[in-house]
Amino acid sequence: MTLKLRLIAAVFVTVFVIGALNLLALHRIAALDRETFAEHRAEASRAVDARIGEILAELDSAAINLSRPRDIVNALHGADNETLSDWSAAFVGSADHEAAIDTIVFTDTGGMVIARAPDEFRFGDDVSTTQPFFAASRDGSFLGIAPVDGRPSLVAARVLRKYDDVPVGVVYVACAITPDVLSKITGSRNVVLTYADAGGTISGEAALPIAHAVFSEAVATAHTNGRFRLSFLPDPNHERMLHLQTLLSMGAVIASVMTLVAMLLVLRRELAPYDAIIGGIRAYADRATTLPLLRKRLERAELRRDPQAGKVAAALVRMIDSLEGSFREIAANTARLEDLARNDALTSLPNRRALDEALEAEMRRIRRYGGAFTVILTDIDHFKDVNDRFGHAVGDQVLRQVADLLHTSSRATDMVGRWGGEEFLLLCPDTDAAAVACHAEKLRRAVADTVFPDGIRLTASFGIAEGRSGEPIAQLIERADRALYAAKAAGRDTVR
Amino acid sequence: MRGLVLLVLSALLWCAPASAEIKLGIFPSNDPAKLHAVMRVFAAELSARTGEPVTTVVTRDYAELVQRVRDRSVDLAWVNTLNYVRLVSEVPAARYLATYMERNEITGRVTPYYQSYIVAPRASGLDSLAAIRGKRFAFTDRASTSGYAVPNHLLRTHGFDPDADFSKVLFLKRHDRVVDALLQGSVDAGAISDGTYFTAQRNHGDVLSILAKSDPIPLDAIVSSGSLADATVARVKRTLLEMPADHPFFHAMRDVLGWNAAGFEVRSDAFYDSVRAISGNP
Repeated sequence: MTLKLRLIAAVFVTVFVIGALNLLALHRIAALDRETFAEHRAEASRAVDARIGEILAELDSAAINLSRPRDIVNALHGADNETLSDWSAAFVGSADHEAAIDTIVFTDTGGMVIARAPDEFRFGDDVSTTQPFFAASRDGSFLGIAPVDGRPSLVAARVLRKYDDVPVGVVYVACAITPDVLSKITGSRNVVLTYADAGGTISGEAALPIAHAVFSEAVATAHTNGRFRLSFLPDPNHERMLHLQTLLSMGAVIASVMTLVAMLLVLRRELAPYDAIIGGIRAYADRATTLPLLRKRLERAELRRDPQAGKVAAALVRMIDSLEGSFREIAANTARLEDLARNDALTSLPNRRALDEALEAEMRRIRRYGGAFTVILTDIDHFKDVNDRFGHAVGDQVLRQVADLLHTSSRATDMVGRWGGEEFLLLCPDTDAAAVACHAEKLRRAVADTVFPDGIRLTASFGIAEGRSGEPIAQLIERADRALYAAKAAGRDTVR
Repeated sequence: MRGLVLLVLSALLWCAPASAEIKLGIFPSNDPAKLHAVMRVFAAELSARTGEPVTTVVTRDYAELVQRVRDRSVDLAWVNTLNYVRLVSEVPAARYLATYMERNEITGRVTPYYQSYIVAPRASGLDSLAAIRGKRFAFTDRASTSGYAVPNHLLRTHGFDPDADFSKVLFLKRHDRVVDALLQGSVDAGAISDGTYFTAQRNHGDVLSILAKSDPIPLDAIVSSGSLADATVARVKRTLLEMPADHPFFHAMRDVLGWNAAGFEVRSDAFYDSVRAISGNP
């Protein structure tokens, strides 16, 4: 795995771990929230029922207080609207801070309203068919929910009796079920109390539309006849917390991705010199470039920008210099070895192997392009006597001198080599046998005219053979050797 | 024994400065706050002329005013006609001082009379006494002259038995409350003073139909409870009689209460006999 991949993997693992931790936290919060919510729900339902019970008790208490005083009983009996208005006005708005009494009605025994508060001048109407009047007239009292002036209300009604005996009318005390009252009963905009009957639905103030409720249930109690429902809206704090959590998770992911991108950019920038170095080396390995070109690449300025990469590049340059030095040495040695392999150590003339290769090449040349070449095989006459009489050192010197003589007396295009022992072979391209015979004659005379060390005088015999196209080299040499033999046979110091 | 006499004497002397303050009681014919505001002007005048501080008391109802005259917890009382005839029969110590006068809204003359009207909302279409039979009817107070005694008598002379011929009879205490209840449709007809009627006309337009008018009724009387020194009573009486028709008090009466107050005059007790006849009092 490359460094880049490892770094990317490290960042991804971090992102994954952060994301997993966030998810776990969210899961835990949601679980806690569910537990709290279940407890809260049961508690809220009990509290609402208790609250409605309290309000009804307060209303009943007010109705009792308005049904007992003799002044009130007498006023109702005497249809004294003003006295009853005074009393009711004193009670309206009282009794409870959250659900104040908002209507008090005094009726006579026939159900005609004698006084009403706070609507002081609205009376004389008939309420004999209403439930509070009807129930209170029959049972002496009423406590519950009934419509008052068209609005569903919590109502307490009591009969007023003269002499504590003879009914003179009914008082009822009501608190309309309004959104405000419903709101105050729950005391929260997230727990919404709703009252529903055939006339419609009334809801307390809600932080969100009721449709968003996460849970809704009837408040099943003795007081409410199942007409009240509690709806639990999502808690904005909780929602905000979840939102924050999501934001944090998103933030972590974005931060990680940005880190990753930044890291990649930095890596790309920082590793660029190394990429260039590695690319160069690989190109060289693939033979796509040469050492000098590679050297040039490594010497580019951008590689020097990064100190470490610069050092590596400089080291590689030094290594290339060293390699080139070694290659040059190897080439020199090779040339020397090749020289040793192709030249005769004593005379420095091409040896038999080099002559063989040259003959093969010349034979291929005339076969392909036509033309002619001729070989002269020469042998120093009675050379064995020189060695025997003067020693091998003198013999070697004589051989070197004859070689020099042959070499210096020949054309530049001719090739002179040591064929073996005291035999030499001359390869004369683009010449025929007749021309070569003159040259051989010149060489014969040169040898014969030369005074060798220690005053030694020598002659040489020459056999000439012209190369024939397609002829094996051995056969050509054979003919030259036969010519040389003929020259020897003719008395030596002869050209044949 | 001498000590006890001295103690009683000194107690009387100690109480003497308290008796110097004159208390004027008024029946609650209108909104008590408005009555207080107006009577403050009246009290100031009396105070200036008598040299005594004068305070005003608006009683809870007519009965309370009679009771306070009887027990002398007020020194002067502004009583309506009905209460006057009851008062003088029940409280012998009470003394008639003068009769209040108003400028008649129609004739423009200043007289010690007013009238009671039986009225119904014009919008209801009830335009005769016959039409209100079986309807809801509002009086002010059983102790009211123009709000109960006189219109009750008026109805009876027209063949009505208010206790039987109306579906409901309500008592709304004050004349202005009767107007409010009529305008709200809470009652179908009611009895009010002519002054209340004209005030309603000024405030609400011609919204009430007059179904019947009573004979002229003697106006309110000013009485003393018997607690004041004769000289003081005399100064009070003189003050009343000398108040000009353009006195600030009468302006205040008109502006605040809507009553066409115009002065006081002294009549004989027999002036109230017409009411005595319908009140059942001797």
